[in-house]
Amino acid sequence: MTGKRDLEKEFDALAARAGLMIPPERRQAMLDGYRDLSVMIERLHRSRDAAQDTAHVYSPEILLHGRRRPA
Amino acid sequence: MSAALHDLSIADAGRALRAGGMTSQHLTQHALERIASFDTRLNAFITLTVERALRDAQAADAAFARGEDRGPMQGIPYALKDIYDTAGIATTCHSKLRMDHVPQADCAVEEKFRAQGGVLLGKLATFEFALGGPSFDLPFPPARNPWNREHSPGGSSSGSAAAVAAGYTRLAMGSCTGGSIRGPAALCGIVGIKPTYGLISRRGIFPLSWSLDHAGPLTASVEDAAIALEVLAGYDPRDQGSANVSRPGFRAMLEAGVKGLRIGVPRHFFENAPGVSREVVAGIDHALDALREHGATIVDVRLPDYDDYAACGRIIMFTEAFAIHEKDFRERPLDFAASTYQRMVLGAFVSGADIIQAHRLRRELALASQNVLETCDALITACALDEAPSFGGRDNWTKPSDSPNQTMPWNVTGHPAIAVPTVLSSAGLPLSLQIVGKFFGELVILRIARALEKALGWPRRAPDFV
Repeated sequence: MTGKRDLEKEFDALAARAGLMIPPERRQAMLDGYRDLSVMIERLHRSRDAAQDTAHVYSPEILLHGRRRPA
Repeated sequence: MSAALHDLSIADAGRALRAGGMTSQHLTQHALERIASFDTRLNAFITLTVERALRDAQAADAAFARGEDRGPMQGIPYALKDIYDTAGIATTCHSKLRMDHVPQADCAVEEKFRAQGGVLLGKLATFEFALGGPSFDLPFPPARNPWNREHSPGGSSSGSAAAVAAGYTRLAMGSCTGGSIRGPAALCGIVGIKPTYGLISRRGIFPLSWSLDHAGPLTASVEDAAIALEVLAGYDPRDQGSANVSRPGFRAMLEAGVKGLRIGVPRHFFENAPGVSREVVAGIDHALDALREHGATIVDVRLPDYDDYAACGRIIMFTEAFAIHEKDFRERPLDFAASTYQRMVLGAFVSGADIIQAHRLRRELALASQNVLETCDALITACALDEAPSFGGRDNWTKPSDSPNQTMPWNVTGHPAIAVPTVLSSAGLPLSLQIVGKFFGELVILRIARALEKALGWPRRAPDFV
């Protein structure tokens, strides 16, 4: 992450994008929660090989789950 | 005999029912009287299904009289967390948003209990939609801990743990997305097992996070837990996460002891974790000594950082939960309890790239954990980091990343994990540990749990509920 983040501005922008009207009495707790969430998110981002896929790639096997008789 | 009916294991009650020394109606009436006597002070139940229970018990007795035996739950009382759909019976998720919801069909778990002739006592308190809590701004009060009513039973399967610990029933079903079976079991001095992801169908259970949710039992003893798995495990093509694997007899190895087993201990997870109680660590060490004395080999192992598992699990959980409830968060925000809202809505602030990286990290953590598990038979680590918290601090805001339990890693990876009690704290509240197994390695963790139960003198009843 480069530059100093304005977490309150981010919070307001993301809430608006999600169509949320945060009740005023819940705003401070949500903002504190967003700061905490941001720390957790930082832990997810690390250097990985581009070919290393995710755990939930599209799979016909998964799509057909439940449409076939068990083996 | 009636004074100790609530302390009969499922197996012992089953034997008495089959021998004709007791009827299901007698057993059920005893449970209902116990609930009527105590639950105004514990709030474990949201809905008590008295007529249904008596009807189920009568049907079970009639089946016994005809010589029919449909399985170990025939005639045995049980209860369900109020996120399990029950046809014709309200399923509220402990939420104002679902007060009028009466399902048309039973969930898969209820289908299995009914098919065996079990006796449904009712629906149990939870944290709203299985997250947040304990909350005092909901239509029903939070459940209380039978060991001390001024303390929380944990959550989200709060009513399930309280009901078993109070001796209302030997078996209550919970659900677990980040520790909601093991956490409350730990705080209430009972057994709670989160099986391998996919072992028990979640069809008809209101989801919190599809890829992390597990169904599982909270029970008074390890044997009761094994019986519950025997009844409930199995492939369900209508649950996208269901695993098509063979089902072992989960009681088969219960008395095999731990001689020759190699048990890994990731001490770096819990030994100096923020908020860990010295008494919890001492309780784990006491249990490890007992296992060593019974012939197990205890070795230190190293897993990835605990905080990686916790962050990964919480990001996925908040994101999936927000996707489930987004319409209501936009249109009815104040109908959610404050603590539910303040956690679930965080899912709206996670980017597409964030969630993809969370899933990539999840795969890395699962593989790293599996590699460590392949060097031993099971792991033992902390479950709840302290004794049950008092309700006194209920208005204090806690960080979403804060958890009183170290349970999330095994929801992230899907490995089976069971909470078992260790010792009592100096305040007289139960402490615990958890045993983690290889994928579909429930037999081994049940075996270790049973050995510990015998060595440490459980199950025990809370003093107020002797």
